[in-house]
Amino acid sequence: MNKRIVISGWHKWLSLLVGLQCLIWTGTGIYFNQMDSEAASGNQYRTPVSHRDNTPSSTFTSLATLPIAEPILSAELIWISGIPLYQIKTELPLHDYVTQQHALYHAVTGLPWYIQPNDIQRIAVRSYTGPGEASVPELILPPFDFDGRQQNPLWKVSFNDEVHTDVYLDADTGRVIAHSNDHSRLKDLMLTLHFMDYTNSGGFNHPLIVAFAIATLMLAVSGLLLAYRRLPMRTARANTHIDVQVIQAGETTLLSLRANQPLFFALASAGIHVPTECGGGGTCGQCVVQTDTSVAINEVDQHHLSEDALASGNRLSCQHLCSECKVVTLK
Amino acid sequence: MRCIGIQMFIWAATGLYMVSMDIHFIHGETLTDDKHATFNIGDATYPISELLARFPTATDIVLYKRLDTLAYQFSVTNSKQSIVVSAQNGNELSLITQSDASHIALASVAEPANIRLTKLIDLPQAMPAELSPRWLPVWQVTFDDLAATTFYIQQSTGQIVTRRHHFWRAFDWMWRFHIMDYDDGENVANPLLTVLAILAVIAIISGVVLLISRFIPVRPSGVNTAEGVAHE
Repeated sequence: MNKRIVISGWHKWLSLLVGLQCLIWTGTGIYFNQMDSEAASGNQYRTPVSHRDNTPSSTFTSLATLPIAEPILSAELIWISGIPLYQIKTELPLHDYVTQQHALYHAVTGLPWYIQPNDIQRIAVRSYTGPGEASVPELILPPFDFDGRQQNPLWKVSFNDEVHTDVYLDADTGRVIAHSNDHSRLKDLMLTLHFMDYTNSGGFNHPLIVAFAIATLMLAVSGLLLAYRRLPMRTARANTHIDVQVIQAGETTLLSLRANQPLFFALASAGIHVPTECGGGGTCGQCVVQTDTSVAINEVDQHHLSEDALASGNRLSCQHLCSECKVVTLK
Repeated sequence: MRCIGIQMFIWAATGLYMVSMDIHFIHGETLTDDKHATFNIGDATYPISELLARFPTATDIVLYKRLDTLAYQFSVTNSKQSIVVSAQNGNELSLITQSDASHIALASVAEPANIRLTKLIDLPQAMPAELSPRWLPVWQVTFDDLAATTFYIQQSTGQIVTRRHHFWRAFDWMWRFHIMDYDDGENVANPLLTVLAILAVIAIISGVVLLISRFIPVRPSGVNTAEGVAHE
């Protein structure tokens, strides 16, 4: 079968598959392009929290005395609400959202240390400048709506303000991980749609979107191939015009058309619109005109027109150059 | 309107690259292995209390293994650069040398490879765009693999602060073409994207209308249905 019809068939079925998603991609794309990134960050009421205090450092116990037998990768002096602590890590993932392996010891007593819900609430309130009141902290397991990648359990403290701020804090250290509010939730929804992340994987590396991306690339390539074939051929004679006699509703006009442009497009440039669905793509078979029987029949004419129609000089106007047709009768 | 087709192709192609390449791989998380950097905490015989007595403004104090030495790295108020002292005797450690940097790179690289070049970068003007100026000065260690894996090793701490390979560099270019910001790829809110995205929405809606007309056709007599009659 004609290559063009094959490509067009692919184009049709691919667009049926991904057309709606393309609309979602561009629509959400315009959202990201236009969004107020300050509001969408969810940090409207967020402020940094300082934890350092004046505990005399002379009282700090030596790291070497901590009861840790296994090999470690780092030990850091951190402060949580004024309490000095040693944070021991046995893994150093590059991202905070990956499962953390760490333990906390009080820097003065050297004893294991665990955070309490009131500490969490105090830190959440200190990180927040809005008018709302804090809820009781709640320890939540992943997955999280605000970030599907997050693998660690987090505390959530909600504030009853007009944008419904939620503050998420690290389960062990109480470090503020994120503020989330109605604005950032809208952005999260847009990201979910753009990434087709309906299972909340938090990312864009999943089979559904890969399959859609492949189909969309094929759609775009087939579209470009169809569009390329439609461009008037750019040869040395590109501007050569010839006279074509056009008979429309019994009236004859003599038009000067570009010799090497398909008749369909040349007529369109002259203001005469031949019926079409595909717009000159050679796929719908609608742009039939009557011309001389000597005009060579091609595969596309044959595909769309009956033997009788062909024998009486019917041809598809998108398939023949003006130079082929001296006289054309429109239907 | 034809130009929008080219941009749609670019969106589809760059999007396909970005979704099909695992983001953790792109970010070079598989390039390093930190097994060699483990240590026993009992060996940190120089106490933090003494360190703080000497450097009262020290913050972000981290105990770690720098090459073969257990060390504390920390920041002080008056210096941009981290200070590194031995965790055994408190002596300040000298900067990482070129051969130290190569050793760290070879010990950290996950897949055995040879080093092609180790170069000191100490001025922002000499810095590639893939590095943040806050890490300077750094050793740039480039391997001879096909992806041109590169580690940036901070001269003071000996820590690998940035890693890059061609897959990540390509990803950054895909991103720039995806959001149509061709210099640093940081501005999603650029007007070129606005215009093209709006044109794309119009093009897609017209495509959907044409698609519907192809499935619910109105045909004049004397014409075969487009798909119905195969060529005899």
